[in-house]
Amino acid sequence: MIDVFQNDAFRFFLLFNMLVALGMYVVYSTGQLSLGQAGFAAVGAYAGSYVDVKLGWPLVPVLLAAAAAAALVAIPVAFGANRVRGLYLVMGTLAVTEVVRVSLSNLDAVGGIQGIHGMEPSGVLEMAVVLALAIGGVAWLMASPLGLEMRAIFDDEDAAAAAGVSTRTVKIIAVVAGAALTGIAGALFARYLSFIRPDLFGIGLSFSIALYVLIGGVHSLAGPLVGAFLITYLLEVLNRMQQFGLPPVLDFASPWRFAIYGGLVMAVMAVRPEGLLTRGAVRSLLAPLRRRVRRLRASAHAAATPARLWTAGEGAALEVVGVGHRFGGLVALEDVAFTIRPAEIVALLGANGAGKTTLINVVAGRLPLQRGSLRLARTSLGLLPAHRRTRLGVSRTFQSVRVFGHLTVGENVRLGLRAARDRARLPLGWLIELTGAPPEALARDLTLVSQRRVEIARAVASSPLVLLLDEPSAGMNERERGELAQIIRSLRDLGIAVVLVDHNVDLALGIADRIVVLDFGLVIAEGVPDAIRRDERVRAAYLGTMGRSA
Amino acid sequence: MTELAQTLLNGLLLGANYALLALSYTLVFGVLRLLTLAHGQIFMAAGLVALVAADRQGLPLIVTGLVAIVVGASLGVATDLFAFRPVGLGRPIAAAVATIGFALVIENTALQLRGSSTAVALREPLPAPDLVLGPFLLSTVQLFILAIAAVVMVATNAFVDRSRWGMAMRALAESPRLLPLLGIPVGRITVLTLAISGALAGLASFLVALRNGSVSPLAGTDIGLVGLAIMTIGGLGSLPGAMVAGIGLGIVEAFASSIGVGTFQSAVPWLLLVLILLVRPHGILGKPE
Repeated sequence: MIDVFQNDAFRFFLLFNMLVALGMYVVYSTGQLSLGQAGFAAVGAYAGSYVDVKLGWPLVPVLLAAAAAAALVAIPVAFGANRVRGLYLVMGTLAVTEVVRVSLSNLDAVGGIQGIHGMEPSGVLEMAVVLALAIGGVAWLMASPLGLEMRAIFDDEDAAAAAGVSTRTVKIIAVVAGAALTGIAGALFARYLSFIRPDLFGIGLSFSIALYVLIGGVHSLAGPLVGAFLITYLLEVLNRMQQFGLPPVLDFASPWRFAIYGGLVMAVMAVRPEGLLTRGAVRSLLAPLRRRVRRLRASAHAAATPARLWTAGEGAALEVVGVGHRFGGLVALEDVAFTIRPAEIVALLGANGAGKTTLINVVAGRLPLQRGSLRLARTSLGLLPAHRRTRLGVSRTFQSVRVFGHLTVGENVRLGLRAARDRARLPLGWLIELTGAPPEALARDLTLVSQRRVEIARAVASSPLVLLLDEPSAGMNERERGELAQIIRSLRDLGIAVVLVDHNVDLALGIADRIVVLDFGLVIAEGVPDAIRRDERVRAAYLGTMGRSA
Repeated sequence: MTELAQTLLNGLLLGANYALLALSYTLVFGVLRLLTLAHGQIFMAAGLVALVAADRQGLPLIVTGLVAIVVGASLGVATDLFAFRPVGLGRPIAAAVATIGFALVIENTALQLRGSSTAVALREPLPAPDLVLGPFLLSTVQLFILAIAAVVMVATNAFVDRSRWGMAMRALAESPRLLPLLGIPVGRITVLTLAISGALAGLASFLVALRNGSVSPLAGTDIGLVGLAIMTIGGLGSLPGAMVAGIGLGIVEAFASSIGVGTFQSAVPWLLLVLILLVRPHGILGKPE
C-alpha cells in the first residue's frame, strides 16, 4: 500500500482546495451561490505574482496584495450580485470567472496567455499556516453577530430584513471577504507552481469549488472542509489504484475516475441533498461538549421579569395618515388612517382582500409607501427600507411563518436582540421562555405553532415601539390561542403598541383595546370592541360571520 | 453589402443552433423549475454517437440526424430518472448538483471510449454554397438548417402553448403539488419534458455537426454553458426569450468575429449576459419570481 499523503503536490492541493472551499463558504453562507470564485483566485494569483516578480515583495505583503486585489475586483461584483437572485446570480458570477480569464489572457502587462513565471517558491508549510489562520478567522466570523446575520439571510432574505439585518451590506461584505480569502489561496497556488497562466483558472475550477461546499454541506464550517478533503482524496486514490497492485480492470486513472466521481455526486445528492454534514449531524457529534457548555451558561439564561419598555404617554406610537396602495390597477388600500398609542392593542379586522396584510407590509417597509405618511413616535418612516424601520422600532411577523430554519431558537432570538440598538433590551432568558421551545433546537425541527412563537419572540426581541402581528393564531388550537392571548397582553404591559391582524374574531375582540375595521381599503369603523360589535355598517360589511363564530 | 449580409447569415445560422439549445434548457427550467447542467454533455454525446454510427454503418444524413435526436432524448430521460427523481422536485440546488454529476459521467465515459483528441468527422463533405437568395449566398445544407430550426422552434412553442400535454407542463410549472390531486401523472410529464428537451439538444448538435463537419468529446462543457447563458439572457423559463437571445447572440458573435475581437470572442456571451443582467435583472423576457 502506498500513502498518498507522502506526495507533496497532493498535500498542497488538498490544503489549497480546503482554503478555496472556505472562501466559497463565506460567500454562500449568505445564500449567494457564486461561481466567480476561480476569477477571484486568478486575480489574487496574478496580483501576488506581479508584486513578487516585478517588485520583489516578500511573502506576507504578497498575500496581502493578493487579498486586496481580489477584494477590489469583488466590490463591483458584489454590488451587481445584489441586484439579482437565484440562478441569475449563479450565471452572472460564472460570467465573472470567464471575463477575468479572457481579460488576463489579453493583458500583456501580466504575460498574456503565457502568464507570469519565476515567483519565489512557497509550499505546504505556508499553505498549512494560512489555512489554520483562515479556519480560525472564519470560525470566529461565523460565530459573531455578523455571521449570525449571514446565516439568517441564507434561510430567508426578506425575514432577515424584517429582523433588522441590512441584507445588502451583509451580502456585499460576504462576497468581498470570501473573494479576499480566495485571492490569498490563488497567490499561494501561484507560488507553489512558480508559474501562473490564465487557463489554470477556468470555469471548471469554479464548479469544483462549488462542489466542495455543496457536497460537504453549507450549514457548518466543517462541511466545506470535509467536502474538499474527501473529494480531493477520493480522486487521488482513484488515480493511483494501479499502484495498490490491483488488476488492470481497476485502473481508475482519468477519465474513469471523474465518471466515478460524477456517479458519487449523484448518489450523495440523492441521499443527503443538503450535503454530507448537515448542521444537525455536526451538532449531534458535538453534543457531549455542548451539554457541558450549557451547564456553565445555565445561570446566564435564568429568566428575569423584564422591566417596562415604554410608558403610555399622550403621544402616538404609530400614526398612519392617508395611506393608499395599488397593485397595478387593483386598489388594495384606498385611504387608511389610524393611530396607536404605546401599551395599546389595536386589532385590524376585515374580510379577505380588505387590505390588512398590505397595510402591514406598507408600515413594515416591505412594500413602498405610495401615498400618505407614516410616523413612528415623531420620526417619519417615509421611504426607509424594512431593516431600518425594525431598528427604529417597528417589528413584524409574517402571515406564513418565517423563522430561520437552520438557526437555533436561541440564535433566532439573539438576531432580534441585535435590532434593539440603543433601546432597553429584554432579557434573553425571558425571550426564550416566550418561545416555549428549547433554545438549542433548530427552528426547522419545531412544529408550526412553536415556530410562530419563535417568530414572535424574535420580533419582540428588538424592543419595538410597534409590533405588527399578521395572523399569529393561524393553525393554533384553543389552548394555544389562549397562551397567545396571554403573551400579547404581556407585551402590551411592557408598553409595546401591538397591531393585530387575525382571522379569529374572538381573539381580536377579546384582547384588543380598540378595533379598526377595513373594507376594500377604507376604514369603515373604529372603536372599542363592544361598540364594533354593535355597529350596523360593520355587521353588514363583515361581522355577519362574527355572530356565528362568537 | 454582401459581406454584411454574409455576416448576418452566419449569425443567423449560429443563432438558430443556439436558440434550439437554449430552448432545451428553458423547457426544463420553465416546467420543472430545475436547472440541468448535463445538457452540454448530452449535446456532445448525441452528436458523437450519431457521427460514429454514420461513419461505421454508412448512414444517410437524415438517419444520422434521427440517431442524434433519439440519443439526446434518451439521455434527457436518463437525466430525469437518475439525477432529478432521486433528489425530488423541491430541492433545486441538490438537483442541479446531481446533474453536474451526470454530466461528469457522460463526458468522461465519452472520453474513455473515444479519447480526448479524436473529433469525429462527418463522412460526407459539406456542400459548397450553391444558392443565391438576394444578397445571401448559401448552401442547401445551410438553408436546411435554418428551415429545420425554424419549424422545430415554432412546433415546440405551439406544443407547449396549445396541446393537452403542453397545458399539463405549464400547470406543473405553476403548482407542482396540485397536479397529483387532479389525477395528472407528474412522472410522465417530467419524463416527456426531459425527452423533448434532450431531443432538441440532440437536434441542435446534429445541425452544428452539419455546419462544422465534426464533433469532439470535449465540446460539451463550453457549448452547454453558452446555452445556459442564453437562457439566462432571454429570461429564465421564457421560450420566446430563449429564441430571441439565441438568435441575438448568434448575430452579435458573428459581427464580433467579423470585426475581429481576437481571444475576447469566447467572452462575448458572458459580457452580453453581464450587461443584460445589469439592465434587466430578470433577462430580456423573464418575469420576476
